Parts: sequence; structure tokens; C-alpha cells
Amino acid sequence: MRLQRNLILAAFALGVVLPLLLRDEYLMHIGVLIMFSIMLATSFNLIVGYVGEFPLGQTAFFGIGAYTAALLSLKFGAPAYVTIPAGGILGGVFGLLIGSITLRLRGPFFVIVTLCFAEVLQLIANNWIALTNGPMGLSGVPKPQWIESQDVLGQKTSFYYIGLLMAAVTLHLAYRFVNSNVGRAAIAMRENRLVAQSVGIWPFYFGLLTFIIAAILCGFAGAFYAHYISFVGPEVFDFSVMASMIIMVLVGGKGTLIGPVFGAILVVLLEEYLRDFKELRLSIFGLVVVAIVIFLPRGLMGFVRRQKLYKPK
Amino acid sequence: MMLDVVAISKNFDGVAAVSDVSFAVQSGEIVALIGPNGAGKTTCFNIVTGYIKPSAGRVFLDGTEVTGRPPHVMARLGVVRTFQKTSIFKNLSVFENVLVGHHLQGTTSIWRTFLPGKTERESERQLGESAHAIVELVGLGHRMDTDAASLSCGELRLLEVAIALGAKPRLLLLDEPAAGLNTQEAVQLAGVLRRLLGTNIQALLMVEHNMSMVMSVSHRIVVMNCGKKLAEGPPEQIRAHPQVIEAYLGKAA
Repeated sequence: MRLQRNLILAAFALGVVLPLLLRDEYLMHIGVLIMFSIMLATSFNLIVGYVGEFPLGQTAFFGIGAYTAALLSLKFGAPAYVTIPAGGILGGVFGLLIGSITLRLRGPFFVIVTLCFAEVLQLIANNWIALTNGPMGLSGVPKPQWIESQDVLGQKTSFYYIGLLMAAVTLHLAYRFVNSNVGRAAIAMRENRLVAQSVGIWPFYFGLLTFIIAAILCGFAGAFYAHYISFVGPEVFDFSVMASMIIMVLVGGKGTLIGPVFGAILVVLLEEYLRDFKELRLSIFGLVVVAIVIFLPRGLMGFVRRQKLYKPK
Repeated sequence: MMLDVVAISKNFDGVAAVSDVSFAVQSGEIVALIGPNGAGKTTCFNIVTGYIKPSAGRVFLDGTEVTGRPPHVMARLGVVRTFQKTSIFKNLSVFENVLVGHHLQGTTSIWRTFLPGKTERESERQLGESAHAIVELVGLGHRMDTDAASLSCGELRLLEVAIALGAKPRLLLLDEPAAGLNTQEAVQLAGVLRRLLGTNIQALLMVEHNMSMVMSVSHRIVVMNCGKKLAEGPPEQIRAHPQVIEAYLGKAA
């Protein structure tokens, strides 16, 4: 755990310094995508890597966060420091609603029903035209005033630092979670549900708690995304967003903190640099994931998991 | 009476796994539940600890009815069990396994989880110390940081007991703790169990097939056969009980 924490702190320090050295709009854009992917992957990992269930509907909370931020700022002129927390909170509310239904199911049933909720939300986004503007989406989500007034590089860099801050907060929360009694309860459920119950762990409660925390983090990420891209359409609920999250977590190493960070960086960079391959891109990606699942089932960073916890006094 | 099981029955699709069984466990007692395979011992365990609900009958803890309370509630009330099939957290180290067992001793407050203060750090330190002490107590001190998956069969049985002890039970239920142990390991386990009573736990109820261990540690023995209670009494009385000898001990002799 100490190694992981130091690696993450080092990555954070690097993340703070890099923009000063690079000063490039395109690279800053990639940096924003990376930060935002770290948030999504980390939140997804809380459930897959720690509770041990596999939800396919995390895009629901991401989309809810994005739409919340877009609607609040477009219809009520709310500033970003209101809309981003609101996106997280509403994501959490939906996490509570969806989680309290789906977490009564296990295994494949849980997987499918969570996916259904995301699909239903996409249908609603497509068809409730009065609210969401349907397939046309909501465009012109304003950037904060102080960012708007800068040049393009300045804007990208500002978003990058907001993203870095949010990713850091996300990772801090995940770190605290994993090293707490609550996180240990989640791990116990992953490892052996019967024994977990026998020592007093209430699986439904801790599953739901983790689910809500993950939903809040996804909601934050969605709201951030809305302000950055300044457009929100029904495709925020697309399964492809979910697929990216899965790939990041599996490639990086589920059940580790550093894994999703590493996975997010790798996947965003690969997606950008494989652009020349066009449609082949996703196929290559698929093959990479299959290879990793077969040969490195714990992911590229899986080796850090077996760290000694007990420290002699 | 600490645990009072009154006339419990359980049918699985018409098959009576347990019918009309009553027994009790007092504070300060080690009680063994014995009987041939399929006698309904584990079903009794599952009913007492809330893993299954009885078809009929009631369970009392300290005079309060607790029939059908879910396992995590029973654990909170001080009733913790182990499993017949070795059940541990195999991807965690021995220390981590026991630390996880301390769940009920730690805080589950969200504020304290995300914004830890002095109390949180102090609580975590205490849990760590307690887990360390329990691992030493069951004699796995030299395996502290070993992956549970690489323990021997005997060590796994001790680890199961250690995990359960982490939950600080008053009444500990062990389902075949000596299964798969050699004679020497069984003797070591019996020693650990005797030491626990009165210090870590108030009472112990166990299902066990190892007769020498049962006879040496238990104060009282409840014998089951074909879902019914056959006899109950102190070891010397059970050893001489004609029906018991016929149904169970007779086969072994």
C-alpha cells in the first residue's frame, strides 16, 4: 500500500509539473481526458476490484452528472462550482436508487440489470425532448468565466488542473476507503461472502455504500466532462464509455489503486495514437484486453497487490 | 441460559433435516454436537447463526428471541461461527484475514472513513494490535504475513478460529474444527480452544467427528441422529449410552 501511495504521489507531482514543460494545446487536451478517465476508472474499480461485483451501468451516473451540470448551467445559469458538486450528488442519488434494486441480485443478474438501467436512461435522454433536447443534445454548456477569458492553451491548462485536482480528490477518497474498516468489509465480501457475514458484515449495506460512493465519483466526472466538452448528448450513456472503463481497470489491475490510474493513462494514449488505424483501433484494443486477461489476470499493476500490511512495531 | 434452542425443525423440500431438536449452551461451557454424517448438525448451526430460517421452533439468546435474525445481526449479538468447508479470505495475509474479522470493532462512519482524525487512527491501531495478538494466540505468529492460500490444512483451521475471534464473540460455534487435522494438530487445537474459554469467549459450541478431541474438551455432548436428538449429557455418560454406541460410536469401535 505504501508503494502504491508513493507511486500515486509521484504521478501527481509529475502531473502538476508537466503542463509547465509541455505548453501544448493538444497534449493538454489529452491530459484532461486522462484525468477524467482516472476518475471514472477509479470509481468503477471500487466495485469491481473491491466489492467484487461487475456493474455494467456506471455510465448511468456519468450521464446523470453530465446532464445535471448541463441543465443547471443552461437553464438556471448556475456556475461550475455549483453544477459539478450537484452532478456528483445527483449521481449519488441515482446510485442509491439503482443500487438498492440491483444489489439484491448477484452475479450475471446484477450485471444485466445495471446495464438495463443505463440503457433506459439513454432512451429517456433520447426521447424526453423538452428536457434533454433529445438526440440533438444540449450544446453551449458554458465554461467558467475565468477560463473563458483565457487563450486556448490557457483554457485547456485550466481544465487540466481542475481535472488533476478532481482526480486527486477521487484517489484520496479511494485510498481512504481501501484502508478503512468500510473498505475491508468490501474486500471481505469479494473474498468470501459467507465468512464476511459471519463476522458481522452486512453485505447489502456495504455493497450499497460502495455503489453510491462510486456513483458520486462518476457524477463528478460527468459534470466536469459537460463543462469541458460544452456539449452533452445521449451518447454519454453509451456502452462504449463503459467498455473504456472496463478496459482501463482490467488492463491496469483491478483491486489496486494504481492500476486504474495506469490503465487510464495507457488507454487514453493508445486511443489517441491508434487513430491512424481507424476502425481497426477497437479490434486491436479488444485483442490487447484478451491477451491481458489471459496472461496477466491481475493486470499490469497486479503485482502491487501483494504488499505486506503488517508492520512490526 | 446463554443459547437456548427450542424444538427447531427444518425441512428441505419435504426431507426433514432437523426435527424437533432442543438443546442449550450455558456460559462457561464447551458443548459438542456429534452424530453421523447427515444427522443435521450443520443445519442446526445454520439455523442458530441465521444462515437459514427454521421451519419451526425458536432460538433464544440470553432469553431474547433471535430466531431467523440474519448472520451479521447474530455476529453483532456475539454469536460467530466457522464453516465446515474451510472458509477464509484466501487472497489476504494471515494478519489481514484476522484484521477483517475485526469489522465490528472498527468504525463504519463515512466521515471518519474519509476525514480520519485521531480517533480513527487510534481505532485502526487498536484493531491492528488486537489482530496481531489473536494471530499469536492461535499459534500462527510465525505466519503473520503469509498468504492464507499457502497455509497448511491445520493452519487454515486455526486461522478460521482466529478470524472468528476477531469479531469478539461471546458464543463461538465451530463446525468441524479438527477436520483434516492429524493427531498432533488436533491436540494443539484442543489446547487453543480450552485456553479461549473464559478469556476470549464465554461459551463454545462445536460440531466435531474427532471423538478423542470431543471427549477431552467438552463439558457436555449433544448427540444427533437422522435429524433428531438422541442423547445429551457429559462425556462419560455419552460414552456409555447404549443408543449412542449403537448409532454412532459403535461403528467407530
